[in-house]
Amino acid sequence: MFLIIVLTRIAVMADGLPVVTVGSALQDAWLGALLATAASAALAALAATLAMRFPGKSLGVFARETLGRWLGLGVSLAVALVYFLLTLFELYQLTTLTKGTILPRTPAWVFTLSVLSVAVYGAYLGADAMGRAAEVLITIVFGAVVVGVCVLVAAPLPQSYSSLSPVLERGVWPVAEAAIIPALWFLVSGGTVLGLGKFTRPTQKLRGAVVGAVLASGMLLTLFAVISTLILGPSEARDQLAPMLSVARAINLPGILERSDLLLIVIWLLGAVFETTIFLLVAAIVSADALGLNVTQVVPILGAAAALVVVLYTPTVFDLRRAAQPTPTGLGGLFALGGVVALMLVVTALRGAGRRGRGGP
Amino acid sequence: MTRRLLPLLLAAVLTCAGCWDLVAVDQLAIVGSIGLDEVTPGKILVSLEIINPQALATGTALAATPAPISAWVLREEADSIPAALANIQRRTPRSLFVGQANTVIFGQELAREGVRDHLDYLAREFFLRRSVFVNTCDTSAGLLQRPFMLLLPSLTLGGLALHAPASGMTSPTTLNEFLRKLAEPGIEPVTTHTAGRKTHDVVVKLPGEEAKQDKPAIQREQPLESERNIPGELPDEHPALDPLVQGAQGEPLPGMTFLVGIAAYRGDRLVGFLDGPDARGYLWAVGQLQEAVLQVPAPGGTPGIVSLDVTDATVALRCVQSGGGLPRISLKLRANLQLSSAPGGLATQNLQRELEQAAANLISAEVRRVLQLVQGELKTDIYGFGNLIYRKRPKVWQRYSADWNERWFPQLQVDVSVTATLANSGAVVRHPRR
Repeated sequence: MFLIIVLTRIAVMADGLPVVTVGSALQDAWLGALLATAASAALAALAATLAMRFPGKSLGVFARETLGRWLGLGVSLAVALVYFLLTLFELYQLTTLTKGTILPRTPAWVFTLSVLSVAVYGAYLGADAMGRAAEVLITIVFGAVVVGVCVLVAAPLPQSYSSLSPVLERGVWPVAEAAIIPALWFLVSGGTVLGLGKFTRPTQKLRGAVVGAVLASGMLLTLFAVISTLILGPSEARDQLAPMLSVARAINLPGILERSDLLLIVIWLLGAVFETTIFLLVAAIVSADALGLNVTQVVPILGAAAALVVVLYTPTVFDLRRAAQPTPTGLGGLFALGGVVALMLVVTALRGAGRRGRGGP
Repeated sequence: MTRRLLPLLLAAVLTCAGCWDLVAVDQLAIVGSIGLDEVTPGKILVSLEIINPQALATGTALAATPAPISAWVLREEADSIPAALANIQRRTPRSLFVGQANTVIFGQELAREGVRDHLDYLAREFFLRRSVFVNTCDTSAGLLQRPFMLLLPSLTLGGLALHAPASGMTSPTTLNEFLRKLAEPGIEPVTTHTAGRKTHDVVVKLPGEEAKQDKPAIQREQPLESERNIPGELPDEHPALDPLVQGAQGEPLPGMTFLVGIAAYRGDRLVGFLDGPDARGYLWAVGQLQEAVLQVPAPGGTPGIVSLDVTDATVALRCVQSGGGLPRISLKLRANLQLSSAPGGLATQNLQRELEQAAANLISAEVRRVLQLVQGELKTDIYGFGNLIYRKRPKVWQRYSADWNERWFPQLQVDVSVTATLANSGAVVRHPRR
């Protein structure tokens, strides 16, 4: 669980960096990253606590047990829909960035369907296969992050820590605003525990794994925010499609590493495909359990639906930027997903449902 | 069987998804450096150095008979850079590829008009690296047309950017750094200043090959006026252009370009050049001086000159607020020196201290003189003093930010103090004695 969450966040946060590109935190983006990490770790801990009370069950089952048949079904399907939409968003984001950089002439649907087919196959193989894949991929991604930091240190880039000041010049709100979208992303990553938690053994380690994963990837997000602010400058970093990609474009070690940006894109593709797969899998698990179906029956249906949507509609980069704003998307998402978890916890506590204490076996 | 083949098939699908963008390497026209200029008002003149990979072949059968042509310089005028590139592509039988370009050169006329619109293309084009070196040429079109020591003009420029700063009189600037300074408050961008000569469509020859480029067959018709003198252009007889003179005949090479100093911008517009000791006076103050040679009169009445190598220099800037007015800047500079040569008769008990004091005086005078020049004539805060005020006193900065360069920066008081330490004497120690 730890690796799955870390992997879904590291690679994607390394590129999109909404804490830098959304809002006007500028040099305080790193504070936004810390705030997002702290807030989402707390919310993810709640989600893990909920999952721990129902060992071996996903939201699709325990929502029905706690909230009743129809309300439980509604909540489960709503959460499944959120993860299905996140799958689509991730696909679109992947395609937009790839088309905007290395593959401008490749039709969007070709790339999107290629990624989707891999994601469907991964989701079809199930949580165990994805867990094993995470063990392999995390080594590659973490290795690349370490290499990237080394390259950054070796590259003769003008880096001045004064770029991080003045602190809180515009007050606290820009920092809070910048934290909203990353917090939502962390929460949805932590929220995967509602679907994947049923496969985790021992269950009592779930909360530690989820919170630890959010904190670990949050620290990396903070590091990325600092690096992009130092090297690009706060204003320039904010205007980038992908700040870390622009940082990589500024690195050139003659005779050693001519282009580090292509390396970053490969790492990012690995992480983004993995994340898409996990979101699709969570949507499939929750909806399958809610409807009493088998996951392998639901995955192809969701895959076909996603394929239909991405073939029929391709948003522009501006559409995606508008969609990923703190309000209403960020705050709405946080309240909706966090609200569901909080509501379930309250009802579970009131009804005495599930397993008390530190979770099951 | 299907279960085993499926992962392979999916991997193939994922990796082949980009075939629409496939261009074979032998179909690429690899651009080494890019020149941007304005000749007709409102239009952009784009010059490209296109590398001939055949001339670079080593270790193969081709190396035995390398092509004498190392690159081609093509140029085109249009309303925008993409339009000019499209025009060049019209007469280029390979696909233009800017991903390997290492240098962008702005011509002086374009730079004085402003480069912001063209920077937009440079920032947006993903394949163009943000690590490309940005130069400003004093001529109207200064793309390198003749390699020097290295095989390609762009390699020569890249090599200069890496090694010429050791002179202490120039400093390389990357596109990333230029864009960053342009976007930040209270600091203005600079680039390297290069001197060059007119650019034509030419065939660039390898070093040692006949460099004459006046055959009509290899020159496009030149409808564009690019030979007139413009303000700030170095005259042919200027000493800085000495490397243009080839061998004993003193025959000028066409389009030779090299680094001479620093070009100062206000916003996206060039406002002036700082060359030689002027560039050094600026580099001291911003802490970018990597190496330099200082020459001071020999102390103790001994005739002759003592040469001192600067091994490193550090700068500490502080924003000093006294009262409610414009803050003062305190600039403390520490330079470590090494004795590199001294007149034979030099022998003084206080040699070390006197030399340190002489060096400190020289550095201090250089810094003050250039500061006065930049504040009084160029009126552009290339030092980033305004940025320091913004970082340390954001509320105070708000009062001065609106007309910083024109009004407040020229009035800014900068207290310069220099400490020089003579720590080494090379391989020989002849400190106080003859």
